[in-house]
Amino acid sequence: MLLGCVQFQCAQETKHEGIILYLEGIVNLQLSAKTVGLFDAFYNSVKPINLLQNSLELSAPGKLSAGRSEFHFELPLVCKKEPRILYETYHGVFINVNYQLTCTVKRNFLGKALTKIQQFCVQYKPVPLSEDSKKVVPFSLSPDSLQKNASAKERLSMPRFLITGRLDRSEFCVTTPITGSITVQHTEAAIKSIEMQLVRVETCGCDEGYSKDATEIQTIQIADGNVLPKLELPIHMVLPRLFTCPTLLTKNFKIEFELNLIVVFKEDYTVSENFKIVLKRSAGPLPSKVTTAGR
Amino acid sequence: MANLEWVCVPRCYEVRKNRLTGQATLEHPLKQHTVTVVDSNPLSRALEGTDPLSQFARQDDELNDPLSQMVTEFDLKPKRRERDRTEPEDNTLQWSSRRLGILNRFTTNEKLSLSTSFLVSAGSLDGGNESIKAQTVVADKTKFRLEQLDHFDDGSMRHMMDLTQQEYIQRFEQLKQELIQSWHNDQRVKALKIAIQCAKMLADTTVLQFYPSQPLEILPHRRHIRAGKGSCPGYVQNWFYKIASIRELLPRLYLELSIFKCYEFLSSSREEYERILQRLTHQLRGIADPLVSSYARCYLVRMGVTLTPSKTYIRENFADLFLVYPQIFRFVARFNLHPEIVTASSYLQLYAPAFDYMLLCLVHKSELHTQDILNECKQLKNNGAILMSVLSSFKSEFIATNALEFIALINASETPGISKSQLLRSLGSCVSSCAPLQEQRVTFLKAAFETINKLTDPNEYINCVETWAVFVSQYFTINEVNRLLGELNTRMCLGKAYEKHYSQLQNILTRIMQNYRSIELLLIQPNFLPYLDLFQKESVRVEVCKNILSFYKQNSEEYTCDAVVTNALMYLGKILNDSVNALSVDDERRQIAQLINVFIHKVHFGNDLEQQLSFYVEARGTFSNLDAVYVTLVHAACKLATRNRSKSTGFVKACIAYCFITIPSIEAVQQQMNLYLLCGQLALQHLCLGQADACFEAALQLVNELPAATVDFDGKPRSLEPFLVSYMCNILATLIVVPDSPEQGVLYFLRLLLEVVGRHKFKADSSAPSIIYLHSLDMLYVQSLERFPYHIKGVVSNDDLYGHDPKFLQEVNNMCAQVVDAILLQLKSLGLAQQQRSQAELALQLFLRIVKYADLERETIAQLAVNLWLLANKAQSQLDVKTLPQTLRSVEILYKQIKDASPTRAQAIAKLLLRMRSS
Amino acid sequence: MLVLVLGDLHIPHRCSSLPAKFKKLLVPGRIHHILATGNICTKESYDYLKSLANDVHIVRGDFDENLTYPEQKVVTVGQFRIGLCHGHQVVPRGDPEALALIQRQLDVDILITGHTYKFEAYEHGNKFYINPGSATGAFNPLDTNVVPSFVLMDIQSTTVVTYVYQLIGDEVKVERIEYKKI
Repeated sequence: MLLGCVQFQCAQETKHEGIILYLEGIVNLQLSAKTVGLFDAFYNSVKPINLLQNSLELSAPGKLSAGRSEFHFELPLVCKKEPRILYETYHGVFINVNYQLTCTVKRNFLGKALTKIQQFCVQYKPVPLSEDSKKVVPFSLSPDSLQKNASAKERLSMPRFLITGRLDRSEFCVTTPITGSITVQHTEAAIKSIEMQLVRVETCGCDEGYSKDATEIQTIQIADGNVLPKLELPIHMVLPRLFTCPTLLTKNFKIEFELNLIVVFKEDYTVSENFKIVLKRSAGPLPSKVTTAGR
Repeated sequence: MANLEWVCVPRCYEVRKNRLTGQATLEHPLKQHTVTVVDSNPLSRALEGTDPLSQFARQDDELNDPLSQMVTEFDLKPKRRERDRTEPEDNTLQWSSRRLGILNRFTTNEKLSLSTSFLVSAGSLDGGNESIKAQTVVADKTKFRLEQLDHFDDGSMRHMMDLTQQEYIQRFEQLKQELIQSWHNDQRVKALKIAIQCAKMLADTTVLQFYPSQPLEILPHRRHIRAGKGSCPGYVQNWFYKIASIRELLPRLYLELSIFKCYEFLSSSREEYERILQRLTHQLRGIADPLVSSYARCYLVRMGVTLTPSKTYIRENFADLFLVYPQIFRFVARFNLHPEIVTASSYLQLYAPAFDYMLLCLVHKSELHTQDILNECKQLKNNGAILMSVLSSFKSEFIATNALEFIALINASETPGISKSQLLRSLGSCVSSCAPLQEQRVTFLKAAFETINKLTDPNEYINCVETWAVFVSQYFTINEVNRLLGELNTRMCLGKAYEKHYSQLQNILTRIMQNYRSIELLLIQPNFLPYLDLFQKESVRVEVCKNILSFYKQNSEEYTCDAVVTNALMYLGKILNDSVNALSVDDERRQIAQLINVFIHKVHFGNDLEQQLSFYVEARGTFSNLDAVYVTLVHAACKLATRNRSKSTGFVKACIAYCFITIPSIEAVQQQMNLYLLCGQLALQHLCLGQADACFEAALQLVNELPAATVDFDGKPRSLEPFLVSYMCNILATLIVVPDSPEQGVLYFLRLLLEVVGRHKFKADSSAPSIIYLHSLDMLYVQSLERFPYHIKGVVSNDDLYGHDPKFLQEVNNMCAQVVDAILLQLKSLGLAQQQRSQAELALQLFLRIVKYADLERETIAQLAVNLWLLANKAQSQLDVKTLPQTLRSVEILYKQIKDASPTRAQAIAKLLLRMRSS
Repeated sequence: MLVLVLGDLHIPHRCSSLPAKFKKLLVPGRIHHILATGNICTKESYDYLKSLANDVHIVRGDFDENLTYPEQKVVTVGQFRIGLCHGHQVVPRGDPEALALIQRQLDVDILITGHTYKFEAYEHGNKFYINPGSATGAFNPLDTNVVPSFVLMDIQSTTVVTYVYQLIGDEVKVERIEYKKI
């Protein structure tokens, strides 16, 4: 249920032809530039998805008295058709989940209608993370583990190193930091920097054809310089509030998140490891999120 | 021959001193009031400010003023630095109080080593090129730094070349202002950007020597983010989110730390703070550069102590630090190969402020981890740097209890860049402030010096001993002190090592003197005087001797009679005496003479007067350059004479003979005159008439050598005439009792005196000779009396010598007439010089004396009196209103006094008064 | 109004310091004025007097190095004019008539002199004469028996109560003498 109030402040008595409130929830999908053309056939499938559409007449045509007038309203937040669920508000590059409230004051045929749009934010009710997800995800990086993106020859010339670590769990809550640790066991080449990159993967389309785009959200440095081997370095990444949401998998689009562990060596030699992670909402929002998101 | 007939009249009256009788009393104003009186009086207590009210007031002043409260809240306000110091309680952990010290220390360091180190690296080029090169290198560095700043969008930043450190700091100051401004202008993001840029610079260790002062310059900026904190938790949370997304590790951590205090708006539990601190501690492991991470840890601790008293996270930091510690020595090894960048030891010194501060915080009000850290330190390879900080941060008591262990640790420590001497030096100052247990001390000292003596470099050795000297002299017997001096003598003589270490050698001596109980004992140690020989440079030697003698002055016993002590003092004094020459300034002479005089006064052989006198003889031979010392010696010999208790005058004669020989060597005539008179009086008292005569004669003969003026202390010339007048009066008063010598005729000294005065060149129109003449008249009149007003026991003065013989009286009268003639001449010349006032005053003085002393029945005398009165009356307008009446009153008093005793004389006075009135 | 009168210290040549028992009595802050008859000799002694009271008046004695001290001085305390002179200039020494002459010249109610190293307090011609003696008991070349002494005057309008402090043996004896101005 959406509760609220519309306020008018009039210098003098004002005539109007009715005041109406529109409620709207839309998923906007957009294909990245490189894939447009190629997937013309599926163009239809990227049309906006309506999650919510509702309206309410606050007032029949009449007059607004001078001074302040208030209209309180209550609107149900229910998705009546497919997917029968309201997704969390999300602002991505190719996918946007947006909710907004439009208030329109109609005036006589000479006057243009006055409108005011206010966005609002939808969040899931927190659900506790599954026991299963609390399992540690260990990982290790060495020339051998990089087979997939290096040829045998490259691997031979590669300096020897072993970097191990773990993510504390496989599923994370969007409001708590991603934690884990990383340890350089040994390395021949000096390390310049170790960074953790948070990436979102947005997929639009269906099984037959889709566009999948990965964009960086934030990168934070874990280690600066050639850190001491065998020293456990903590991973502590606070998730940015505006650019993350619980992992979302739907028929028409997907929002997924991945972590890239990037190790930069002195000679600008870089190796990286990719982790798929699942984000959930297991803890309540902080009060600040509402105000910030509403701006 | 005088043309005046003068006849003295006998004194026929007694001047009555109505002695006021006193009563013995126990009550008097200086009586020390007993405590009860003062304390039971609440009013007086209030006045002293011990009442609760004023106590409150004072406390308020000292502690609870809003400013110092702010200090505890915002520990980074540099302006309040002074206040921090006055905070009695917790300021040990205040970084700001250390800030200035560190800044100064590393600033100067930096400038010096910057230019020199780059000069060296510039290699074999000629001088001019070298300096240019050095400059460009510096400029490149600062340019590099500022390029980082130039990432700002508004383009207001300019490249700045050739920045000195001062300018660099100024630049930061400017940035700080910008930061504040952007904050106030609601450009919060820009403010954050500036802060991030600043923090980024903390990773820049290119100019190593500057590093310790660098964080200090940058960090204060961060306060403003905090200053902008709203009390709204969401608002604060927002900031933490923004900071959390900073890409680079170091700025992210620094910024989070800088607003660490804001966590109190989000959660107030101590556990929470500690958890966060723990996390940050671990995150800091990601900083590979040990120097950068050490200072980041230091900053963490600094922020942490303001919110939680827990030590766990500090301990944790040390655990990590010890892990990273070997890393430091990889750098050290590198710098050992390239000392032109920075030397290993100065590199290690860069860590000291951070380590010191962290250790201090760890052990502040807590003993929890001390032993712990020490144990880990033991395990650590190259533990020197930590050990150094432990020594400077841990409580002295702890170090004292574990002193032997520390010695063992230092012995075992082989840290490149931290020499054993540095460590020993620290340990030395620790045990000086708090000594190990009594029973351990000797063992400890032995162990310590075994190590110290192993130091081969004289520089290291002496630096070390400098701190240990305090300990040795404070807690050990003179034997150990002597041994220490002996060791120093041998060590520093090797290869003339002393030449380079005068200041340390001086320091050591000063510290020993400050801390050892008896300066006398010190002076007689066999190794003490040889120690002075280490100071080959004359100026230093003199300085040292002065220092010793001033210590002796302040700290010695009241007297010394020890010949060895005396010898040592003489030796020191001789060095000083010999340093004085024609070029020495007066102040230097005065200072040296004063020091020597002090010990001359202190040398005291009790009843062995002969030995005392021979000491003075020796001193005279030794201190030939110092007038003031001679004066002291003469006084001392005079005093010695008065202590003579034996009947025979032999010893007194010896003393006076000593003086008589010594006085002519004194330069100042004035002093000579005073001393001759003193000796003459003394000789007279001891019936050594011959010597007395010699002294008086010498004194009078000196008068004509007396300069007209002398130079004052403040450098202004001052006429010596007033001195001469009072001196002559003094001698006249003495001459009253001096009997005529059979060889010299009647009143020889008075004649000599008058002759000397007659010859002396006084200032034009000076009244000085007249005053002397007038008092000569006083003296002569006494000579005419049947009985002198005072005598010296055993001295047969002229009254008894001549038995009021008329021939003698005639002689006296003749001389009176001569003196009056002389005065009349003076009156005449004053008249010619139009000095009416002086003339009148002199006339009245003479008038009074005539009335008092002379026979007024003689017409010439009476006429003279009247004339004088008339002369004075002529100048009435110029005289003090009171002068004439006063004179008349004097006559009146005299009249009353003699009225009964001698009616004829009273009549004569009355007649005179009538003549004065009628004329 | 407490006025300390003392002189002929001869420190350091004849005595190393004031007798300890005197020093104990002379605590800073109690005394208002100090009149010194001379022979203070050194600056140290002067500084010591300065530490007892801020208002210090000194005339020159025969052994004062400082020639800037005047030979005579007049100080007014309450209703009394007090003359100060060391006395070595007086011929014959300590002669009451000679002193009376100075008293008249200076036109004072009380004349204070030293130089004889003997305490004296007498009235002559309705004027009051004080000699505080030597505070250190310094030797006098013309007199062998010197008793250390000084004087404290308590001046209240027209009355001056003089306290004489003498160190006899090892004890401080105090006498009280009252003098009223007529």
